[in-house]
Amino acid sequence: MADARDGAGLDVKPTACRVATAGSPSSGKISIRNVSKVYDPDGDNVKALDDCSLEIGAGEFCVVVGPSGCGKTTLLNAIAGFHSISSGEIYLDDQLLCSEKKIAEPGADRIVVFQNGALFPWSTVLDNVISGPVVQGKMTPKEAKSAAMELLCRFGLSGIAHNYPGQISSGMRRRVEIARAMMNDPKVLRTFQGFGCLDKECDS
Amino acid sequence: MLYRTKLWFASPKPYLMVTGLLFFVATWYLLTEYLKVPRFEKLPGPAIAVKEWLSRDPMYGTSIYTPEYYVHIWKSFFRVLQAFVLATCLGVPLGLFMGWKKTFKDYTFPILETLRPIPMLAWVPLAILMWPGRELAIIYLTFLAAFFATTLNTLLGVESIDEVYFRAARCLGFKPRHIFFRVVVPGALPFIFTGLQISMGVAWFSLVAGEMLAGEYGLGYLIWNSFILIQYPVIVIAMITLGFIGWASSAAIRFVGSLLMEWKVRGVA
Repeated sequence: MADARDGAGLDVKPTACRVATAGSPSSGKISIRNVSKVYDPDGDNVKALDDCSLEIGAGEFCVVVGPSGCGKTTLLNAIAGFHSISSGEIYLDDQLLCSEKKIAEPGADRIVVFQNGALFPWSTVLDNVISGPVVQGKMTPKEAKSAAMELLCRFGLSGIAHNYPGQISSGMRRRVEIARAMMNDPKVLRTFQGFGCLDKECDS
Repeated sequence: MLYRTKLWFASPKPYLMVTGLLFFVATWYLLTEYLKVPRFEKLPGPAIAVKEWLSRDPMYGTSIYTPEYYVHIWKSFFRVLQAFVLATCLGVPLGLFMGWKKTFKDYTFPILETLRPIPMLAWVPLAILMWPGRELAIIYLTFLAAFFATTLNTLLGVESIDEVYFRAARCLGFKPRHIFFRVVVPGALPFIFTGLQISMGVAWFSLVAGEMLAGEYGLGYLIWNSFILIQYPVIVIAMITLGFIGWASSAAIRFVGSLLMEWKVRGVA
């Protein structure tokens, strides 16, 4: 258990539970050190995070749980680079990611799977999955398509590669989004309500 | 396509449409020709107008068999086409940039919002002063109306894109140009096409006003000239023609939109 704790005016603390995964990846270690976040400090002064500290090792599977408004999303958004923090530091592989003076830039090394889904509705499943590596120049569209088809096959989604997100179920959309994240080989994969919408086929 | 047409005919929609149309024509006939209700008795009825429209030897010189009729249609259509293309080419990129870059919007939005409410008729004197000849002045007036509708809708389209797509794009390593072409443009398309339909409507509206004031040819000119020459059935012919062309041009925009936004059509299929 880590001593992640909260705010937003609620006397509750987000709790982190983690499990070491198979293998030993060399990167992806996150250190959250005494992080606080206050929204609207000159006005409503809402304290979302108060002196939160948490260490997540490389390859570790960590779940942050807590009631609504306890600061889980704020913490994950700060790591993603969507929010600044009021004090403290966050490190990724011992490199400063963000602090009071530095906002992290969002990047493919810290992919987010969003709570309500963020597949581009105007792109097919395949185009969504290949978009990251192609725009980053890591793969040609041909290579990316081949890798994406393999990944979609593993996820049991090969039959819907040319469908649009609006044509598939919410569980499938969730899996596509995870596949899109994994195509980028991120150091850190963060999911909001990670197993929401996933069906029985994905239990394992 | 065939499947959709079959579905359409199987639904009550086409029959309700025909019923509504018949009801309208019947009411028009009763008011103007059969009952001759006060205030309506001077208006041309549907039977007189259609008879003139389909006549090989029209009493007032305008029917589907006279070449002048098509010259008027072509002149109006070509003016709208030029104005609409110009408004789309300028309005869509401007709206996209205004929605994408807040600083650019801060510069341009107050000007747009000040100029937009000015009625097209108020622009007529300036248009005549600015452009040599009537033709360019009419096209300019038509362009202005279409331009404001297109720009504003495109801007709203960009602003309506959910922030989560921008966040997802940045997470996936998209650079600003990728965000523009892969998120901003496709995300704004539904609003852009709504704007184009509105812009086509207001373009026809402005064109007719412009042609009435300064035209030599065109359906607006035909309406006004027929009023002066007391050829009332021709007014109705030109109005119905305008209605059909306006409807067809909006349908063409919707068709192009459905091709470019296959994801929306297929998403709800």
